[in-house]
Amino acid sequence: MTNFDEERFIQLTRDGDYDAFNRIVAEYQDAVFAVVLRTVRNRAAAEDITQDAFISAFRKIASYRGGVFRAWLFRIAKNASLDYLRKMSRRPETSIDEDIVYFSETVRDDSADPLADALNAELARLIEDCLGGLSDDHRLAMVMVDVEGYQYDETADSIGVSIGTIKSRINRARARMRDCVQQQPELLPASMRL
Amino acid sequence: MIRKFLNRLFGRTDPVTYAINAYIEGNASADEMKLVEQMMRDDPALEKDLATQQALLGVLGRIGGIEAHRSFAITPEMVAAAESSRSAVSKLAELFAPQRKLALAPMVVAGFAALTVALLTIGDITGVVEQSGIDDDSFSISAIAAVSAAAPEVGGGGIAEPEIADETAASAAQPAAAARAPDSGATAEDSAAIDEGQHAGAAPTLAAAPSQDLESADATLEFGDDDEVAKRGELIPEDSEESAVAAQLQEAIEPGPETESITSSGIGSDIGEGAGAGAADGATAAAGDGIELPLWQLQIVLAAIALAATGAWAGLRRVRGE
Repeated sequence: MTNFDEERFIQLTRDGDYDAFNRIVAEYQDAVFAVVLRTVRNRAAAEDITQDAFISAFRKIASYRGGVFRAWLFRIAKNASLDYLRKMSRRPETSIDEDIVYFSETVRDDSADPLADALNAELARLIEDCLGGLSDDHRLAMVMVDVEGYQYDETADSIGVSIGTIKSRINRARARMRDCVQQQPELLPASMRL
Repeated sequence: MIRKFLNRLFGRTDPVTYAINAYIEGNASADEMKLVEQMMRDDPALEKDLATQQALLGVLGRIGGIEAHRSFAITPEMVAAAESSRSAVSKLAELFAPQRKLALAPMVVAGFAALTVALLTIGDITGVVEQSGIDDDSFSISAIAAVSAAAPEVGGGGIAEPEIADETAASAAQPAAAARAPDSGATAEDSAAIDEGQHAGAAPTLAAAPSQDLESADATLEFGDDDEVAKRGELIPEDSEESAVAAQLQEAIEPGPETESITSSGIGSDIGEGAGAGAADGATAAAGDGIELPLWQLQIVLAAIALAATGAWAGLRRVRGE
């Protein structure tokens, strides 16, 4: 049972209480950082963006007018992430692949088989590559819904589009991911091979 | 095709997309299951395709959560630093931050303003629109000063006239007389004469060139035989500049209804009434029949808006790192 009283902390933050806002930060920082990191695929940049997002949220807390607070935070972080990606796309000399985040160590598998672990690591790398090949909008939607497990409505609220748009993006992103991972069928489990 | 476009336009998703998503996620309703099964019967490859996507979703779901290895707690110093680093442009950009699609708004405004300036210019060239006339009542101080600077010797000569005994009247008359000096001195006299229909032959010349040389204007008057014109001619000194100044100073000291109506367009209409159709054609050609607008004022304002909006748009792009 958590004693996290979000409404009260938000109200205290409106009054300029840093401690109250830092309770909110502690509650949501992992979630915000995960989405940002998987969107921008650069740890240092993700840390900067997450930090800036929380500072921006504190400064703009007066503009929060109810709704899911986490979605409001995600929206700020999403805007900062897309700004970063846009900036990177204009500077091709800076490759995000130099500091790419691989999921190799984070694909969970209950088996203790080293070969299976290695295959999982390769599969994770492949998935990461395929995720990176999606458009920013599709990747953000897929990360939030399929990886982080957020509901469609909260994802739509966070990204600032309709639920229908999110469903459409998810549908297309899954189809593209399917096409992408099937380019290396040897890494796929039997269930994923056509 | 059209339905898909409309669905995208209004953010709606077609039922097939809903059904496929729900089927892959394993929470399809009975109707959605029915729809997907029907589709799989129609296209056997779809079953394997959807199975692949289900497996992919399973793999994505097995990706572990990411933990931040540091705290993102904020301090007053961080907020102060962020505040101080904000430029005016970034403050403006923040206004658009909640709705990024509005970031294009300045460019839309700039484009509209620039297009309007272009249309006004083209309209001006083709004669569809015209600069609206400046009436005497709205004659600006700056315009008076500009014209005074352009004709200093005429104004100075006017003040030196011995008839102007009253200093108060002279000081009041000075700017108005100086402002009207270049052209209305001649037209004042001539239009009065033309009103009476006595000098129809002179009308096109005067209307087409209201700022014509004062000598030719005087010559037109001297050629007339009418007594009225002769009387008016007596009032005009031989020197053309002095005559213009004298007439204008007289107007300024004793403003009458006929002096108020002396403008280039007024002359044109007076001529049209008094001198017949041939003269009227020439006069209206000079006055123009396009839509009258404060043209250059509009162009300047719209061009300024276009520049400002373009600057705002460029600033936004810079702040957003584009």
